[in-house]
Amino acid sequence: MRTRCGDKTFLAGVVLLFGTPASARATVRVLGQALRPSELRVERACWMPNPPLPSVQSTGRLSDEHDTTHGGKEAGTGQQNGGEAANRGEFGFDLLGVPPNTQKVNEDALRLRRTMLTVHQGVGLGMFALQLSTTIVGQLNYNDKFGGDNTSKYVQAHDILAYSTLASFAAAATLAWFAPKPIKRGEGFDRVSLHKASMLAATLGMLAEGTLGIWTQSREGYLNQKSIGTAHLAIGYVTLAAVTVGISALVF
Amino acid sequence: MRRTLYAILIAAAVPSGAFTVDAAKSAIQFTVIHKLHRVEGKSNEIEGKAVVKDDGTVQAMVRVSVASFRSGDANRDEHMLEALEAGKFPYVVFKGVAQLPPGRAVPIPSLEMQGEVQLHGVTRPMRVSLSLAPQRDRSIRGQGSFDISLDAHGIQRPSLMFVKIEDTCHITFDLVFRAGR
Repeated sequence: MRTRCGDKTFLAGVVLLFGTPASARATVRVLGQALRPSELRVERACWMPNPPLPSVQSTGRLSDEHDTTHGGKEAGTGQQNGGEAANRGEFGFDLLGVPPNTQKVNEDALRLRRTMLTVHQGVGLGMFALQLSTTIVGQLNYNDKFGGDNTSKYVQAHDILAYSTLASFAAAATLAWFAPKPIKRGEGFDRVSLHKASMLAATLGMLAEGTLGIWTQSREGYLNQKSIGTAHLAIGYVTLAAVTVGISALVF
Repeated sequence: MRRTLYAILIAAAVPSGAFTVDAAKSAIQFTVIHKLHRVEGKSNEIEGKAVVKDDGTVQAMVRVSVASFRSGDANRDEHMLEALEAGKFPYVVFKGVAQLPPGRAVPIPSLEMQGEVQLHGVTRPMRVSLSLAPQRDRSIRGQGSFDISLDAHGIQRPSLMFVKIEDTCHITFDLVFRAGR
């Protein structure tokens, strides 16, 4: 039996304040109601302070469970909130008590990380477009140099694109490398691991490409220029594939 | 079919008392949809308790740390923590009340539970339909699902490739309750 402020609450108060079970029963009998103390559950007596049934938020601070919102946020439509107001008392219980200490999340660091990774994402996509262009122009340059009229008409475009690709790749890598890591967690091999592995392969590919590209240019007139250029071209495709895998790992 | 038959064979009545979620055998999973793919995250770090009263009323409370969900992409999980403001609101909490049918016999294929979900500091009413099935080891398995609106909980939906995920987050739960505290 539930009691609320009023006569029954008064009885409950008598039981709680003065009562041994025997005296309580006696008190109740005297008042003409055969109630046992075990049947009396005081939901909130009028002498108890407000607010009732506080629950503990995981941040450790006490909060009023009966509020629909916390932290000043709007809960949504007033219609739904108002309609449920009567039900909230029904859910005023707390069966779990104070939450255990869990890993704290540094939200500022998380926000900075998100900003840096969003920029990283934009720079990375731009870098991918540049790299694709570099590879296409590089193939045209190779065809012109070793299979065509050797007009050198693609050399400048290829150089500009290649250095832009390298610069944007370095910028994207720097953003990811220096982004704060507020949460330490062992994930095993996941999509991010695949992204990182692919980008590591792409980094090695870019370094090799740069070296081979400069070497190819320096071997003008030598017999091995074509083979070095071919290796440069092949590594270009491998690097492009590594970046494609790295991006796809996160996007799809 | 075999499971159903087995459940019928070991059908029992739910006794009054407290039941605690066996986290090792329980899981809560969320699914959100992005134009490019469907993301599923799972947590096994679940705290939960249910109290069955003499009149057949069930009070249940389940609490999960939002940081405990894993979607197979640590970067995405961090993004989710940021969207959920996990520093301020580290838990998602469900509280529900249901009435067991007379006789309290399980399995119960569909039990309506009125409740509320607290997520991102916003509490919303929720009606959950769940099934209860007795297990061989005398535990009770509760399974069900429900949808929550991220917008209704004031969550700024995360985006990938500058496209936001859909508003609906589908939650499925598979909880094993054991008698006792």
